[in-house]
Amino acid sequence: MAAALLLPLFLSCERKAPAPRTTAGPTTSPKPVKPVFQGQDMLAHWAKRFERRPEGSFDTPMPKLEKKDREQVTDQIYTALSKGRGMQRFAKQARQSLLDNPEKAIPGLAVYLADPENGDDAKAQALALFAGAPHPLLTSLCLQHLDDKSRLIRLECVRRLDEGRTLGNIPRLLRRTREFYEEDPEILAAIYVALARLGNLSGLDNLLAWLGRTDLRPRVGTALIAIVALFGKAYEESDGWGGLAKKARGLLSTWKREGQLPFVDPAPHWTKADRYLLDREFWLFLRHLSGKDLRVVDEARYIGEHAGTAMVPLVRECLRDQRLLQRFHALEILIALGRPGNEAQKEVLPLIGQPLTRSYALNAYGAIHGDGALELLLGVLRSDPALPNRQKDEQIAALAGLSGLESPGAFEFLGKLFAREKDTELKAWTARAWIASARGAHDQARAYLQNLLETKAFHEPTLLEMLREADR
Amino acid sequence: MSQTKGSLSPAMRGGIAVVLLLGVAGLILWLGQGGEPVSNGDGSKGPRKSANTPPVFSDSAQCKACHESAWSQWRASHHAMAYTNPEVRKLSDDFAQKECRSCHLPKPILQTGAGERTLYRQSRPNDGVDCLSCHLDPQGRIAGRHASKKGCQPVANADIISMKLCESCHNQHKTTDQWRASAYPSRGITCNTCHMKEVKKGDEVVKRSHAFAGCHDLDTLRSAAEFRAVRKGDQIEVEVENKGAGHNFPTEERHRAVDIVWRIVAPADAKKGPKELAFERLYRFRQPYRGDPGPNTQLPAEETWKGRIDLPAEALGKLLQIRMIYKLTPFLQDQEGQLLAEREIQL
Repeated sequence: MAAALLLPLFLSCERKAPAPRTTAGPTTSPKPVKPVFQGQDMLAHWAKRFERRPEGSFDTPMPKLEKKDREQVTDQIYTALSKGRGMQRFAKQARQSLLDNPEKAIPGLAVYLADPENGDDAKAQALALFAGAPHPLLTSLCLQHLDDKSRLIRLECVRRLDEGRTLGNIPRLLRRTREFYEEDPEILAAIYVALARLGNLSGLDNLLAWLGRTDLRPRVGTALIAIVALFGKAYEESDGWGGLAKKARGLLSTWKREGQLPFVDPAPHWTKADRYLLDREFWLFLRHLSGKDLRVVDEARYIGEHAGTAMVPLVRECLRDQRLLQRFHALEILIALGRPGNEAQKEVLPLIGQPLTRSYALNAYGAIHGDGALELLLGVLRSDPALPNRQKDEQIAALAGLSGLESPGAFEFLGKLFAREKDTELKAWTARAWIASARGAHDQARAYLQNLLETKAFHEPTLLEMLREADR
Repeated sequence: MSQTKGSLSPAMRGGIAVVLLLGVAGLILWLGQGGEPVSNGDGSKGPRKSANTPPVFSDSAQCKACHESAWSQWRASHHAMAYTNPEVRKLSDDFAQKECRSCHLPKPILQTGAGERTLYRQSRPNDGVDCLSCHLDPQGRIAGRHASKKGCQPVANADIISMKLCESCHNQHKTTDQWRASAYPSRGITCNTCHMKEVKKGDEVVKRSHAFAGCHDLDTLRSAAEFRAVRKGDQIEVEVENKGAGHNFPTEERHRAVDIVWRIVAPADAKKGPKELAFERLYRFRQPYRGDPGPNTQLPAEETWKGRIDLPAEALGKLLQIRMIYKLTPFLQDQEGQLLAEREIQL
């Protein structure tokens, strides 16, 4: 046995020359400090932070009216809705009275909407009375009625919310865009425009898809024109549907990459109060991520994935929560969000060191293009193949992260890995990541060629042919 | 040939190398004798490890080598196909509804916490809820009822036989809450009693079935409820008693339904199928989807539902057929459901 231990010594019998001394400083870079995760009770912190319930919140209670005020407002609504020819002057006056006194009129409207004796048509018309007169109480009321079974009421609610243009509308409007929730294309188009005016372009995918449908095109076209104009790409008649679609696609790719877009002047001015309201409305969903109701959890996840950068600050706080499920779902949101979630990398890193969140955190870190993500993820894949297969989840997560990263830097490594990988499951994930890195290389190279063309820095016909090939 | 200072001649080096190689071979043999072979997941046994090195578990196929019977039962069960089952794929829109993934492809439940919500894993999608989902503990060891130094060297873990393990996934639709609300816990009857039946050798319980018989097993379904129909004058009194299920009947996902259907036929038409001669529905036991109208009519444990059919005058001389049918989705036709019970009453 001693002989076996001494074997290496005897086999390498030539003395090695000692390493040359240098007077230079340390030759190895300092060991990176492993980030430590410390959980906090973010839910308790949030409960205090969002205690204040401002007007315009979903859960703002309507002020209770005294009986005589209630009756007066109800009468005014009935009068304002009158269609009789002789009643028009009174109808106009009644409407004006309502608009002049929103603190009483809107709670009265809430009572009117809750009354089962009133038909859906009448309720929708009652909401329409408040067109052009946004008010925080009206915002709250319309947020509460977004799920009404009557499409007329829902449509009027969306229109009033669009006019109100409050940041806090974003989460609940997004929720409505979830599959099987709002199925009426007209209402969805109105929601997408309302969201765009609040800086959220998650609806462009659907609008562009609908442009191909002749039955929807007239409505969708109007919505798209309104949206592109918000961001400096005014529609011209010469554009036609094709030109309009191209402008919208340009906006969409920027939105997907950055998660936000700069408005043209006049840009909307969001105050601190607006931001508080938005965060609070997000919180109303996010606080349930570790709860038992999976439907609510999934809604929160969906909203996060479509909110762009708007939700990232709260998602970052979720990543610090002591509850595993809060952190897990926050990572899921980031994975879907992609690069717009880049600011969250500081919070994601410590979760890579946690056994239960490691695989999701690896995936998320790549998806959000975290600093050094390429080296980190390749490092996981370069680890000793003899490591136990129970870390297969991590290898898959690293490959998924590389798919999100789309880095050309991974192309060569992934090609070699694909060639030698024998495990079918890992090979499939490697193939996916390899395709993504090729796509990244394609995009990068194409952008370079396009830039040369636009700056006339190289032979134009050659560049045009190169670009044609790249687009084939 | 030049030699550097302090080196040995090639001949001497070769001789010493042979001796040392023989020593190394002996060392490997000596080390190899101490450990049990470990399955590699493809039926072959892996490299020998020492008795001091804990085995590593990454795939349920490793369990097959020693637990062939349990493994085969699991492989044919709905746990194994939890992530590939066409019904599940259809209902979840191929898992576009992401909330379904955590239970249909879970990480080891003992790692996320028995009784706590699960997290989903990304590997081995064809294995669904596999051996490791229940038996792998946070330290990567196999958890079992008893500890042992043999084979996979399991450690004893009380959670393995507790309700909490099932609860992580099966309370998403409140099944274990339903059990808790019943009298079964006080009688010591748990999920395992019915769904992982004991296998005995003589009087000794040697293991439990890993077939996890449930709503996809006709015998289990039939044992859940007793169905009675009795004529009383001009009426047929129908009763369904949840006698055998420790939870609601039906339970779990909202798409499951139990229908009580009936028809009156001429004796000559008694053999005609529902397609030829339709049944009429008397009652449906089901929890509706969110947003759908109607109450939850699932029948809680040990409760009885009573219904009634008023016999028309022209029914005299005919045959009343009444059936209890289980449907995996409420949209199935009667003939596509599972017939749980049938009664015929001559009028």
